Amino acid sequence: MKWPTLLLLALPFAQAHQPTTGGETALVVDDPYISYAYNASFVTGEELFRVELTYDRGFSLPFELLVEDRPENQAFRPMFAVVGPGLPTPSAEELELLPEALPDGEGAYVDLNDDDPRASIFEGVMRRVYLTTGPVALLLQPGEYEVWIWSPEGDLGDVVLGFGVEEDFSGGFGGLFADWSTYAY
Amino acid sequence: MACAIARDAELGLETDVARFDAAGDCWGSPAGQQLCDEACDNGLTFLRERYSALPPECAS
Repeated sequence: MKWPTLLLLALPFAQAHQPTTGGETALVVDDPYISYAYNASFVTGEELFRVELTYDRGFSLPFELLVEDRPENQAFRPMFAVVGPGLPTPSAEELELLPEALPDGEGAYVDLNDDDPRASIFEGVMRRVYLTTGPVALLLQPGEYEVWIWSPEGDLGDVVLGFGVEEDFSGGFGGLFADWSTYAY
Repeated sequence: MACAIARDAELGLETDVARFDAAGDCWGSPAGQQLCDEACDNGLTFLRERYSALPPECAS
């Protein structure tokens, strides 16, 4: 069992777990020191999902992007980038694929989701098999960060961004279990 | 961990890496160990490929 199993077991199913469509609204993470699974759906393929994280101290955490391992998702390779201070300048290819220009003075970790083949893992909470970018641990300085998630080919589908390690369910489950069939078999 | 700590020392940073300590929360199960191994390996690769002048602790 790999990372998403632990991740989703450890994650607080807060508001971040509600499916998000449209791309107009950024998710502002109130507590960036705990772990989340952020669900989003590409309905038009034009969406740019943003997750905002603000750190008042240097912090290390893993990020990973998942799509369900279904036949219709085999070519669905959404990308993500962690954008903020202290991160390096992306490669020319990555810069070209970013959905927006980087803010002045900021860099990014960019995951082009181009592993071939992609790893497939079983996630035990949602009872689903996911294709994954694989987790990457990043060292973040204090400051404001955004995670961008986009579908470069305009493909449609659902994605899950997992980030963080420490669990904290004190904020509840964000209605996840009231809408369980949306998320799990 | 050694790389992150040494890099912090060189750059005058203080990064909370407690979850990746040997007793940290990231290693709480066999699945977690594999998760953390992969996350740390990928993070270290990213550091090596994209940052210059890393401390020797990041070389291996």
